[in-house]
Formats: sequence, C-alpha cells, structure tokens
Amino acid sequence: MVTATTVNSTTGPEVHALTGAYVCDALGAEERAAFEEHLAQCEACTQEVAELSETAAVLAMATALAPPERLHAAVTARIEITRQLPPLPAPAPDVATPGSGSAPEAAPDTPAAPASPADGPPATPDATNAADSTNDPSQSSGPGPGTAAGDNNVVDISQARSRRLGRFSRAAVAGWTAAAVLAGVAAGLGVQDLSQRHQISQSESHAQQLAALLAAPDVHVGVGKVHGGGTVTIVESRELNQVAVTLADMPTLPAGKAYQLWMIGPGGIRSSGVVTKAETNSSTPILAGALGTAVTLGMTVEPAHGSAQPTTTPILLLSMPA
Amino acid sequence: MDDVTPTVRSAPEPDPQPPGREPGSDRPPRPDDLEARLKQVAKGDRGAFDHVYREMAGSVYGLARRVLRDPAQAEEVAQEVLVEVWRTASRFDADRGSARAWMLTIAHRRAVDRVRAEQAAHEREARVAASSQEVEFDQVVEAVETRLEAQRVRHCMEVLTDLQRESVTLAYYGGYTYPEVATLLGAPLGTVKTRLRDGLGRLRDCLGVGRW
Repeated sequence: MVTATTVNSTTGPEVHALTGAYVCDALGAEERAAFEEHLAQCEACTQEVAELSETAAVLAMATALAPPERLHAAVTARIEITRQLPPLPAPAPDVATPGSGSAPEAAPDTPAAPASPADGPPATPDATNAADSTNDPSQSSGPGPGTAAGDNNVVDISQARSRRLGRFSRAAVAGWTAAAVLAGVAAGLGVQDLSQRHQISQSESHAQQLAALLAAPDVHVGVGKVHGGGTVTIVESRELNQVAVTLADMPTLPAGKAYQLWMIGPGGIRSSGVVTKAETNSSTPILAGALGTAVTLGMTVEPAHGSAQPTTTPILLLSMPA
Repeated sequence: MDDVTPTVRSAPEPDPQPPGREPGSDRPPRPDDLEARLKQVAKGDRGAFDHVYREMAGSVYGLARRVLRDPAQAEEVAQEVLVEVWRTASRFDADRGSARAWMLTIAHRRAVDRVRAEQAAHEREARVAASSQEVEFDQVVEAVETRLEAQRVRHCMEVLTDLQRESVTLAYYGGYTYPEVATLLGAPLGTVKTRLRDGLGRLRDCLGVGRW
C-alpha cells in the first residue's frame, strides 16, 4: 500500500480536509475528480472516507420510506435484461488501491475514474451508468430496442445534460436510439421479414423483453377474434413502446401467402412484419416492434414476402388503448 | 424471470444494531448478511437480490426522495441505483466497507447528480442566493423518527455544533455543493469544508460507526 508519505506536505492537509465534502458529494465535478486522484494515493484519506461513508450510510438509513410497490416489479424486470459485470481480474501490482471498482469497466476517457476504494462504483458513475444501456464493452449482447432499454434511455439522456459524460454515455444513448431507429426503419420499409426482426430481437433474449413488457406499469392486454378463424392476443405498453402478439388457431394459408401485421395510427399504416408459418403456430409471442403512435393493430393476408401497404381487407382490427 | 409479479413490500426493518455501540469495534457486531447476499448477487442469484432489495430499497428510495423531493424522480433514481447494484455487485469489496454503505454511496451520488442535472446553473445560483438561511434542519429526521436510525441520527445531530449540523444537513440531505452551503450559511468556504469533515467525524463517533 502506498502511504500518506506520497502526499505533498503542503497540499496534503488541505486536500485531506475535503474528505467530508467528498463523502457528502458536495464537491463540484472538477474538485471531485481531483480528490479522487488524491485518494488513490492516500491511505489515510481512504480510511477516513471509508469511515465517513459508513457514517453517511446511517444518515441515509434514517430517511427510509416504503417505496412504491411498482418499483420492485420495475427493478425485477430490468435486472432480467441487465448483464452483470464480471468480477475484476486480479489487481495489477502497481495499483495503489486494488479492488476498487473502477478499472476495467470505466470508460478509458472518463476522467473521474481513479481507484477510490470506499466507493468503487460511484467513482465512475458516468461509465457505469452508460453501461446500463447498450454499449458496455462487457455487454456484447446487451439490451436491444424497446422494453426496459427505453427507460435506460430516458435516464441516460437526463443525466447526460449536466454530468461530465465521456463518450460512453453518449454512445449508449446513440446505441439505443440506433436500435429504435432500426426497428422503426424495418417497419417503415413496409416489409419486415423474420430475418430483420431477428436481427433486432437477437440483441437480447426474447423472453427477457417479454418479461419487461409484462411487468410494465401500463401494460395492456387485448384479445381479438380473427375474421375467418383464429385469435390474436396483444400485450402492449406505451411506456416501453412495445407490442407483443400471439396468434392461436389460425387457419393455414395457401402457399405463397402469409399473415402480415400492421400498426395503424394517425401517421398512417406501417408494416409490423410478416408472420412466418412457424410463428403462426407458435405460442411464443412475436415482438411486433415499436408501438409509436399506432392505436390499432391490423392483420391482412398478403403475399408471403409481404406488402408495403395492405392489399386486402383486414381480417383483424384490434384497438390498442393509448 | 422468477418473479415479475408486483409484490407488496414493506419498508425495511430497522437495523437492530443498538445505539451507542462502542466506537472501537471493527465491524458491526452482527455480521451483516447483506455482504454475503451481495456476493451471491454477483453470481446472478436473483433470490439474493430480492433479499437485498427488501433490505435496502426503502433506504435507497427514501434517500433519493430526501435529496430530490420529487417522488417520481426519486423512484427513477431508486430504480437506477438498484439495477446498478445488480449490475456491479461483483465490484463490491467487503474489505473496504459495508454493503449498505456501498449501495447508499451509489444512491447518494446518483441522487445528487440528478438534482444538479435538473437545475440549470444560473437557476441554481439564483436559488442559493435567494434561499432563506432558515432551513428546517429538523424536518429531515422528523418524518421518520420512529425508526431506530432516525432516532440515533437525531440524537447525534444534537451533539454537533450548529454550523456542523447545518453544513452536513445542507450538503448531504440537500445535495448542495460546499460552496453553495457556504453561501447559504454565510460562512467562509474553508470553514464549511472543515465543518463537513469534523461534523461527520463527530457523527461517526456518536453513531458508533466502526472502522472498516
């Protein structure tokens, strides 16, 4: 361990006096970063920060309130699609404060990412927060479009406004946006075939997205009879901007024909994709993409490769409450 | 997805640690199983996470609420923090502090970052300048005084000097930077800096928060 002897004797005591302000998060961004640099080299400060952090924790405990019940559902749903960081590799010998939670997951360009033992993760809030979303390097198959990534996005953007964000967070926001745009574009092309839809949903497990959808606070379930036979069930959330669809007892279509889903709203009609034969007879819900401003789910029979706009009379029109 | 059904959760039970625990003790007498749970969480154990949630969600939410005031924002921050706990559980190092301090440090940082993000710089300066110096410090603990921690905190806050108490309260619960605290209290910057440190130090001794 490096000891306090590395501390400049002139600045030492003054910097040291910042322990209290640091623990209270009462330092401005620059001073915080500077203090964290100092902390990485100052064993005495580290110890003091640890003790004062325990003290602050008691101050925090004193504020305890029963959280809203939906918080549990929301958190449970989000951890389903949040990949955990792997354990840190063994600390390098020259690291003054091994085991601090910063090194690998911290953005390399995040300035405030020193090893700050008593509170590893908070030392890199920017990077860790960013990684919640899509661009965590350790998260190669992170959350995709829709589902809980939606509120990650909200969080990231709101925090991005004033925090010193490295390109990490911005990339995370951009990544999410790109995914959403991809979904929108795929739908907007008029023909979203299964392979396109897979490209989108592969980025996270189908089941996890569904779990998040089902746990959404504003989840709505609708069931509609299909003209000509069959039943369609939808699960939708405006908040998550997501719709899942299941088909049951659908009549088999002649070769060369397929069911196609449509999102119908004030902006017009956009394709939500062709339903493959496998999907038609599967009980696994289809993630039908972004809800957008659509208020009705429609279904028509189209050529197997799909159509840009409906070419036949809808066999289902199912309203999706706003 | 073990349990996506909303479940009724009560607030976490008060920590059974007795007040006035001797300051010399190295760790809490009860080896808090929160540390062990967090290690399980790091391995993806959702059941362990649920335990951590039940234990900590009240404090995380309460703290966010105290700092941010706005219930909706507090809920968002609490959600972020709890997901962050899940995500970064492997980074928790029990040799460096308690699990609850680790989590509440994350929570406080997030809440403070959010409150500062919410306010445009000029707005905030105006607010600080215009604010009455008569801040209701006691309000902090009154709402929750039935809780053991709140009682302990209340008691120990009384041990502080006025300036220590006001500085700690404005900085920790108010989310103000120490220069803002100095402005609010009309005290020199260096004094506030020092009061934050010795105020917390005195609280540490009074609360019997052991060394880690």
